[in-house]
Formats: sequence, C-alpha cells, structure tokens
Amino acid sequence: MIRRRRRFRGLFQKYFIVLFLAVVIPLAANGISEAWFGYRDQRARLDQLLGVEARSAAARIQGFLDGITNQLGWLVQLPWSEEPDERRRIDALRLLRQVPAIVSLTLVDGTGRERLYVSRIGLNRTENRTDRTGDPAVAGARSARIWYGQVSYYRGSEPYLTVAISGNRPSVGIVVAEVNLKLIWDVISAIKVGETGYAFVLDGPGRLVAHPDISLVLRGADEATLNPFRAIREATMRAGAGLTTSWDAEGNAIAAAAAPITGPDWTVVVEQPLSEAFGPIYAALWRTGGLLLGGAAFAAMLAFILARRMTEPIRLLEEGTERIGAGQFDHRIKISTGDELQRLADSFNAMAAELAVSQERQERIAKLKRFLAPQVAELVDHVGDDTVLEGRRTEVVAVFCDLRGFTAFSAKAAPEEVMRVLSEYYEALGAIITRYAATLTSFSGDGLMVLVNAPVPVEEPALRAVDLAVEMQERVQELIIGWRARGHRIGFGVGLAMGTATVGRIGYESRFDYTAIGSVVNLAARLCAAAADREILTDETVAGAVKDKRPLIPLGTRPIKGYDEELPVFGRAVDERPSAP
Amino acid sequence: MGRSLCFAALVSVLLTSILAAQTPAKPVRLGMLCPVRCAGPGYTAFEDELRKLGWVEGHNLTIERRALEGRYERASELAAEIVRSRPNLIVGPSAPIARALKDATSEIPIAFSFVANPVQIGLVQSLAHPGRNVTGVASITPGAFLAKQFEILRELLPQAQRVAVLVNPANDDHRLALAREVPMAAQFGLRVDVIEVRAPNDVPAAVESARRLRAEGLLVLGDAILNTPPNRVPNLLARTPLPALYANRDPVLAGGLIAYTPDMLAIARRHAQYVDRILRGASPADMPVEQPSRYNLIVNIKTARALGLTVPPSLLSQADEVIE
Repeated sequence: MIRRRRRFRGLFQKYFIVLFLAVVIPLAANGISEAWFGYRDQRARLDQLLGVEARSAAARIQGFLDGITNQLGWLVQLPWSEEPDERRRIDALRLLRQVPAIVSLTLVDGTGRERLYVSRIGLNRTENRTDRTGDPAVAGARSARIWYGQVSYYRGSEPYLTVAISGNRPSVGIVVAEVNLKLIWDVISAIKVGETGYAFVLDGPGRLVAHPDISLVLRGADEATLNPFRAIREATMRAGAGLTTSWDAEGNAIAAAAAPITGPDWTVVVEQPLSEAFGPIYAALWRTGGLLLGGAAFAAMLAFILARRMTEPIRLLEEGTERIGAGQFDHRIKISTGDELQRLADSFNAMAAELAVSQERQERIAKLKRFLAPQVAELVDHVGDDTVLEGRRTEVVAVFCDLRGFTAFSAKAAPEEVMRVLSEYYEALGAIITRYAATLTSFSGDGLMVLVNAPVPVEEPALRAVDLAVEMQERVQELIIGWRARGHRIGFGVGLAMGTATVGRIGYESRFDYTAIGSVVNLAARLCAAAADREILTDETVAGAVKDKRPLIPLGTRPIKGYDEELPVFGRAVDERPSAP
Repeated sequence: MGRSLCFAALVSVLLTSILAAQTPAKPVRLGMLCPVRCAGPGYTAFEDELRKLGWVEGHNLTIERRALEGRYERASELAAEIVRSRPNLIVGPSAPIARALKDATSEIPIAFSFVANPVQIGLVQSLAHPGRNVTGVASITPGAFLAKQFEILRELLPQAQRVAVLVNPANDDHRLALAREVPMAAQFGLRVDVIEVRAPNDVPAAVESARRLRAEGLLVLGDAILNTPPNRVPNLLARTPLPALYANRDPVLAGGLIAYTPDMLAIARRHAQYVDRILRGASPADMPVEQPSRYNLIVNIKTARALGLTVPPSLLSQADEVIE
C-alpha cells in the first residue's frame, strides 16, 4: 500500500514539475533577460548622466575661475609708467569689491617690480618696487599667460589659490591674485546630482578644494578627512571616462564620475548614492522579481490543477484495478475524460464483468464437482445452467458398496490404521467413479452410493454400472490382499439396481447434495447388504439390460428386506487372485 | 464643505505627525549669555535662521537668556549659572563670554560667535580642529583688521595725526589687536590714543576724553558695550566735528560716518547653522571655526557732508553701501 502510494505521488510530482517548469522556465528566462538588458541600459544611461554631470560641474568650477581671471584681465591692459598709478589702484580696489573671492591683488610691472598690493584683510602697499621676478607666480605667468599655484591653507583652514595673469605684452605687467576658494562653495553647493548627489573638487595632490559641506574643506590638510575622497577619485580614474562605484566617508555605496579642470589641474568628482542612482534599476528588478514570483505562483497553481486532472483518472484506475483484484467484480471505474484513459477504464470494466461471470462459473463448477465427476461437472457447466440438477424422475442405476468386517476391524485397530485403510479405499474407488463418469451422491464410513445416468444421461447405464462395480470389486480386492497381509480381516461387497427414481438436489443453503430417492435405491442398498465378500449382486432389471454383454449368474430369488415377496437376484463373483501382480 | 474640512483635518494630522517625527518630543534647551542685552538685529537674525532650520522657540526649543548688562566681570558667575541648568548647548557672542563659558564647562557644547582670535584666546586648538567642546564663527580674519581701519581712516582724513580708539579692556580680542596693530599706525603717521570703556555708562566720558585729547578721528571697535544701543556714539558725536570709524554697520545707519565690517547678520545666521548641526549630533571638536570672507565698507555721505568731509573716490569705489 505504502509503495503504491509513493508511486502515485511520484507520478503527480513528475507531472507537476514538468508542467510547472514548462511555464516557469520561459517566464524566468524572459524576466531575467529583460532585467539584465534593463540593467545594462540603465547603467549606460547613468554612465552618460553622471559623465554629463561631472563635465557640467567641471565647466561651472572652470567658469568660477574664468570669472576671476577675466576680471583680472582688466588690470593688465595698459603699460606701466614710472609714475604711481592712482587709477589703477582704484581699479584694483573696485575689483576687490566686485569679486569677493579675491583676497588680495599684487600688480607687478613689466620689469618684475611690485607696484601695487591691495588686500581685503592686510594693509595695502603702493610703489613698493620690490623685485618679484623670482616669485613663481610671476615667473609662471610670464611663461604661460595664466598660472595657477598650489592650493594652500590659510591658518591651516581656509583653502587659498594663487592665480597670476600676464597681459598680452610684457610692459603691461602681471597681476597676482590670492583667491579664497571657500567661495567656490556657492558654486559647488548649487550642483545637485539627482536628489541627494553632489560634487566635490580635489586638487592635484588630493586636497579638498570644494565640497558642499564647507566644514570638510575647512579641516585643511587632514588626512583622515581627505582619504575617502582620494579613494573615490582613484576609483574614478581606474574606471576611465565612465562611472564607477565606490564608498563615501560614511561607508555608503555611491556611483561616481570625474571630470578634469585643466587649468589648475583639479578634478571634479560627482557622486550619487548607489541606492538613488540605481533606484530605477532596483525598482525594475523588484518589479521583475515580483512578476516572476506571481508567475511562478500562478504556474504552480496551474501545474497543480493540471497534474491533479491528469493523475486523478490514473488514481481511479489504480483504485479500481485494486478493488477488482481484491474480488470486487461489481466495482466499475467511472472515468469520463473522453480519451484513452476512459477507453482503458471501459475495458477494465468489461474485464471485471467477464471476471465476475468467470468466477461465478468457477464457483458453480466447484459446487458440482463435489458430487459429480469432473467431466460431468464440466459438462453441466458447459450447458450453461444447472437445471440438470433440478429434481425429476428418471431411470437410474444405483450402486452401493461397503466393506465387510469393517466395524469389527475399526473397533480393535488403531485410529491411524483405520484412517489409512479408509483413505486407500476411497482413493481407489474415487478414481474409478471418476473414470466412469458416475455420480457419487453420498458416503458414510465404509459405505458409499453412486448413481449412473443422473444427473447426466449416459448410454447403456446398466452396462456401465456393472463394469463400474466389477472394476471396483477387483480394485478393492487388490487392496484387501495388502490389508490381509497386515492382519485385517476385511471383505468387500457391491449391490446395484436399476429403476426409476426421483433425483435432485437436497439440502440447505450452502450444504447441498445430489441424491436419488426411490425403491431402486433401497433395493440396491439391500443387495449390497446381502452381497458377500467378492460378490456383486444385481436386480433383475440390470441383469436383463446386460444379459448379452456381461455374464451374470442368476442366483434365484431371495427375500429382500422391505419387499413382501422374494426377488430374483443375479450375481457375479470376482475371482480370488493368489496375490497382487 | 464636509470634504474640504476632512481634507484640512487630514493635512493637519499629517503635518503634526511629520513635525512630531522630525523633532524630539522634549524641547531642546539652549543657553544664551549676552554681553548687554539678548536683543538686536544679530539676535533676531540668529533666531530667524534657527526657525528656518526647524527650531521653533516654545515648540521644540527653549532659550534661556542671561544678559551681563555690560558688566563683563559677571561673565563667570552667569556662565556657571547657565551651566548649572544643564542646557543642551550654550551660545555666547564675544571673546570674554566665550572664554567664561569655556571655563565653566568642558562637557556642554559651546558655540561662540563674534570672536576674532579663538586660537590665541584658547577657545579652540586650531581653526581646522577645535578639538574640544567649543566651536563657532569667527568675526574677522585677525592680523591686520585694526590696522586696516587705520588705513581707511588715513585715506578718509589725509591730514589727521591723532586718532582715538575706544576699546573694551575686558575684550581679549581688543587687547590682542591693540598690542599687535597699534604700532602699525605709525606707518600711516598716526598717533593713537587708546580709551578704555569698561561699562556702557562710561561711553559718554570716553567720547568726551577723545575730544579732550584733540583726536582728529575716532575708532570704535566692535563690542556690545560700545555699540549698544547702536546710535549712542553717533549721537554723542553728532554735535562734534569728530569723524568716527565703526566696526559695525548699525551705528552708521544711526548716523555714524563709516564702517568697515564683516556682515554681522550673515555671521549670526551662520552661527545658527552651527547650533543646528550641533543639536543634530555633530561634535564641536570636529567642526572647523569659520572666518568671514567678505568685509563691507559702509559710508554715510550725509554725515560726511555734515562734517564737511569729502570721501575720496578710492573709498567710494570700495563702498558696498553708501547712505545718502
């Protein structure tokens, strides 16, 4: 049962898995490929977007510097004379007012001497005339029109940049400006990348020039503060032009892209939290995942229902065959799927019906075999009904036989010996009765009654009965030789009579016997009782029927119990044989 | 009607829940120690900025104000009093107050403002790394700010030889600036008389003594006792031919001649931003002290005319604000 259960579940499982996979695999393949391409597209878009943001941020920072250098250009247009230039001083002071980021201005004439210094916080100087040719800013501006210095931290905190510009000819001199980079904050804090992304600027050696959080810039050359920014820049450099992913100072994953600011050799890095940058990707992935999950659930439901529908008839078939196998032939498998399975069920049903008929027949034959010779029983069965067993009056030959001296023998012999003798006896007689297609109606102890010509009529019943009796006598006599050798004094006698009798089944419910009732039966029994050992006694009817074929000796008339007058009796003795061959 | 009422109720519930989510249930307590009075344009700007940042007094913020009434000698006493009330944060303008607060506690965060030399006074270890519980906004970039005012005065009064400076001797920044920068006045050919003002009530006498000393120009340094109320010195000078340079815009608006000053209101707002950051968990030790990057020159032409002065174009060209 358990094995069968497991097999059933296995089939269901197989169907379920196959159906489920058939739906889910294409669904998953589609979802995953879509997610993958979506991710690629989104990433490419983000790559472009951050690249544009970085370049635009760089342009804005460059714009901040260009604004300053453009303003400075006004101061290097006219050549210097030896006279103090009050106009130029006012121009310089106005420039300070105009450009808040400029902290101080140094104007150097064509010969490299300092002519003017104006400052927001320091004292102004005019016509100082110190030689500034050795100043790297002056030297730098002379060789390349615009020169940017290194970022330095004023009082260890505020980032300053020195910018120097020379005019289009040497005589107009050079202007050197100190720029407070803190003011880039206005520019950098206005740069927003997406919702929360921002930009920052690092100089060549990796110092923070600008950041929306000004306090990070004001920490000066603080390694602990600068390292995360340097790491991000490193990562963007490794990634080349495209975007890269890295971690910010708080350890959040970010997407970053960089763009150079060529003049002062700075780098603008724009960064955006990865969660925000990849937000649409994640959303798409979640969506795909959700659809996949929903699809899988739907597929599972579908597969379950289909597998159920496919295995249910199989289960019914299995159960049906099981019940039919167990003998419930009236069971019918109800499948109406209109396909091969229904056909299979129908043929199972037909088989069950045939089995039922066959079993019924078997049972009937078994019943008949109890008192009919097997071939008779088969015959009866072949006819198809057992009406032959119905009660009727017919001509029969009744044969009775029993052992002589058996009662005395059974009284003194051991039970085992009694049973052994009986079993040898019945074995011998049974075979003969069967051979002659006679009907054994009853037996008790050592006596038995056999009918010939009922229930199935035979040709020449008397002759057959006589031959049967002779063979029985001969066979038993052979046995008797053996018994005598074992010291038992047993004989065997047979009596038979022919006449009309009522035959049929008698008994109750499951215990039926076939028997004959009539005077012929009594006569046969009396004849048997009268027969001596080795003797077969018949009545006149039998003798008349076989007179030309078998020699029967008339033994005159004898008084028979139950008959008013004496009846003629015929007999036949079996020769005593010296010993068994 | 019913629907709009419902909508309004929903919006108000949402708003209150958002507010409740954003601000702690218990109001934050801010201690404030002021040199004279806890009132004026700077204080208004400070509180306004705090409001913009989500700190509404009486709702999620309580400010405990203590004023010295110009008596700096009481700074330590009131600082201790404030510290005893255990506020979340203490704010205080000017060097003596910041120093008193710093001496009173090394635990409660302190955000100062209007201090010029926080490193020299010992409030912070460095501008970039304050390192302790004190940070804030510097009022000027120290070094030559007083000298710069001598320079402006020189430009305005080319003939002047003698100038008087009104200072508060209790103000560390004044002491530092005087020691460092009065000698620089020599290069402009100016003789400097330092007049100390210890209490608001001493101001009239100080102005009087400047006049007595025949000063041709007057410098009024930035300190609450010198500039509260802002029109005090201009009024005292109104009927004298003494031109004065202030380190604050308000006296010029009130009739003073000229001022060279950082944007005090911007500093007050920046100060409020520091307060906000500290209240939201930032550590003062890691918050660099910020210095102003921009200074304004304010000229009152009306007063100049009354004094019979011609403001030279070099100054006018620098002026960010000209009052006519």
